[in-house]
Amino acid sequence: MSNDPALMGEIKGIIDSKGWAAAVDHIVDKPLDTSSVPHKSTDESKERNGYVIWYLEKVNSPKNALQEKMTFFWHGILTSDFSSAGGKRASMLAKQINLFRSKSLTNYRDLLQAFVIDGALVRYLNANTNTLKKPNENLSRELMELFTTGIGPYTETDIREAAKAMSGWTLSQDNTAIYKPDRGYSGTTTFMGETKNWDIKAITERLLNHQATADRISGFLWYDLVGDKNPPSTLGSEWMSQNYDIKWLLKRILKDERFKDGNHYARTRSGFEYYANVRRVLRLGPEIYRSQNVGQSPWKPPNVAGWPSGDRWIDAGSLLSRTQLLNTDYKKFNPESKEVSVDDVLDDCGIFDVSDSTLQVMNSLNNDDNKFDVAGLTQLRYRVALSSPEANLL
Amino acid sequence: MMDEVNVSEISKISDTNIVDKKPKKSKEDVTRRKFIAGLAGTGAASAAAYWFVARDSGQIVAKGFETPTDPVVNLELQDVTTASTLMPNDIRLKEGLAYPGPVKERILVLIELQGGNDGASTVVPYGDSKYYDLRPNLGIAQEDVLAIDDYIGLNPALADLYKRQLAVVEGVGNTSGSLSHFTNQKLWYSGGGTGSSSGYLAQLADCLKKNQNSPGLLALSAVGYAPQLNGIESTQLSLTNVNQLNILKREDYIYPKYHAALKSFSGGPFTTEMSKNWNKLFSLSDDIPGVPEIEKENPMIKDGGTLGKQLWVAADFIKSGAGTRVIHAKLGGFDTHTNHKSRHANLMKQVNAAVNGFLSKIDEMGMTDRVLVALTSEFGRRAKENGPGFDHGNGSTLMVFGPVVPGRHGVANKFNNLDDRGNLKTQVPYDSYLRTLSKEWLGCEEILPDSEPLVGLI
Repeated sequence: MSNDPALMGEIKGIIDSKGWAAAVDHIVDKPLDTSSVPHKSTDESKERNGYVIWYLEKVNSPKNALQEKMTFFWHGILTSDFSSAGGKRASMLAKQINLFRSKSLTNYRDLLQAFVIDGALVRYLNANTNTLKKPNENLSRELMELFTTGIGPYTETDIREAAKAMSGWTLSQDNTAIYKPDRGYSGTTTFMGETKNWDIKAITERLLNHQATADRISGFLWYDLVGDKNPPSTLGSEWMSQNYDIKWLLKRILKDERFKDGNHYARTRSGFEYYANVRRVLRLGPEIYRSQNVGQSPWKPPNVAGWPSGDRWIDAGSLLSRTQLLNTDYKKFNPESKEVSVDDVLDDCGIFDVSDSTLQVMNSLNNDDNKFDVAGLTQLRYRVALSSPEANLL
Repeated sequence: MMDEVNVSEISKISDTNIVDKKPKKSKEDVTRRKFIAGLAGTGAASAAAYWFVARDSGQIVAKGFETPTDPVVNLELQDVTTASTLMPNDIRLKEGLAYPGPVKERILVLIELQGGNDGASTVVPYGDSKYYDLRPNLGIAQEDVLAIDDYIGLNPALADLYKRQLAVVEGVGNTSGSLSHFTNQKLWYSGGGTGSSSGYLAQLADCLKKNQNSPGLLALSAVGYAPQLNGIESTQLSLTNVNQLNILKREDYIYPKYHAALKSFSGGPFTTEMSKNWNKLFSLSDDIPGVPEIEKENPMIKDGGTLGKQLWVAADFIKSGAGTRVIHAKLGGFDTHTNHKSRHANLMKQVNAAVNGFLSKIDEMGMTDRVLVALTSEFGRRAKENGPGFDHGNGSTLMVFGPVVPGRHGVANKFNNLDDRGNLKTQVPYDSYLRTLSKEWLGCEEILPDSEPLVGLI
């Protein structure tokens, strides 16, 4: 995270004057940006990119970096696909972005309860076709497998019974999820060993009360921030006793010794994280949206499980597509054709903590062979900096 | 979940020794290959001919073509298998079809239909009346089916593939008891079912390197990241656009210095991995002379969707002589809980254009006898339609293209004999299918050693 330029830009001053703990409190507790994606209910499909670009602009603004980071984090777990909210339903996408941004730092209970009846999700996982007559298991299954406990605590029968209990939701004219009792099952069902009148809220609540949910979700955030897959063993239970308070969890992780003293480059930068940084460095305008070129386009996950993490982001194909991204917009690196020093290039690229090796490579860059001028040299410095190991890690 | 009777029967079949029935390679093979290459693209006439021939051939008929109401394929094959050790009975030799080339030159292309492809909409059991009872709206009408025999036929959108040499494998399903995409994908692809932490294709590539001294870039994922290749030790590449390699060939402006810098980072976390990958890319760009552009008007690209583009890249790699032997490609969107009819039809169109275009390129390269294209999917879908779509299911039908024994393999799905969740049963465990590809096709004994391969397919 200390390699996250937007976030560091926001708290560097506080770290220097008041220390790390105060800086953490500051970014976690600061009021959220309450602006929302502008949309009309009759939006055409071409506006969908506009919504994501609106969000991208927010990501690169230094004002509420943690809120935007957490918005993307939640989207990676609570996925929905863009294209299922296509055409005249594009406004559903805007609504979901607003949902994540407004609840990204509240608590996971509220967030998940709102998400399971979010229009884009309801449509993405076909909950709007889950009726008494024809229960559809899609949302039921993924709610358990992906959004809460993960595989283990429930059976295939639980999935089927929960689907039945959750039936009856549909979409209104303006694509808001609504419950229609005549479409849904209203009797008792047996879910995870308990027979009663279950509905979507009660089922979600039941799953949230399972320890595995707290362990799993807090483990994801631990990995995202600390970069290792072994969170403290009590992290989940502590979080549950704090009623899934997201701010509490963030402070707990960010103030942990393993975060503070750990490796700053502990995990790979995902495609979108890499793209967002390049976009910030190049000061690309809203017309440039190439996130898909580096393998990760928000609201377009490869499947409902979201994006895989880890080494894949630095495999040969990813490195090549990242080089290609830098090549595509290379003229924007240095619009004034002047020389920018190695230090300034590194700062500009958000590389505040540079390894000896990378510094040595950067310092050895020259135009001795007269194939290019000082503008070319600056161009070369930017490209090398953005291809360095540091630029590919967080 | 597994039908034990069938499993034991499959094992029995596998006791017969397939190796014995393969003819020795002879000079005649070359001639035959040329003949086959010449056949490619002659259209419906030749295809119809060989299905017809298949129906009339003693061997294939014995495999169930004439018992449509009880189409137990392969299970009744024992006598036939014995008989087929008489090589001339191999339908492929008799009819001048492609016959597998040298093991060390064989290539496997695994296509993942992600989301759980509905096997019964792909290979339609139109002779099973119960199929129409359970699928009054989503069943594919008998008159639209491209008949293979009077029991099954292909989806009408697969018209080009219908003309090709293909094996239909029925009754393939999971043994996990789970209907989760991710649990089953893990079993199929990521090594979850093999007792190894590395992916299926990764194990294959490593085996080819170790046991067959196969050199070069062994594995390619044309999709980008692929869990199939996790944990691989031999050279692999995940790439979406082969043209991107051209940037590494540039020698003007800042490029030589940029490239030198890319190769010289060292010492930090993940740096070893990154350096290794950069070196791999540069060595590959040296090996591959100029990368041809994608032809936008080619049906493979125009109608083949993302799969067409991936297979285009795959064909480039095969042609380049990079030594690639296992290739992964993927098409998503098969999780048809809703809008099944139009979505699935559209996907079939893409599969048809992409795979047929790819096989045509392989034919042009004269490699018809060395490339096998196998379809996979993490599960089939529920037997009974559920409104406009299907929930997750189990048993399915898959297809293998290339120098296979054409016709029906495996054990026919039965819509009147479902498991307690309403799913078609597993009659050929998924690992038997994979074992067929790794052992019978690529000669890798050590992968899934406890699974029984399907006999008489390769």
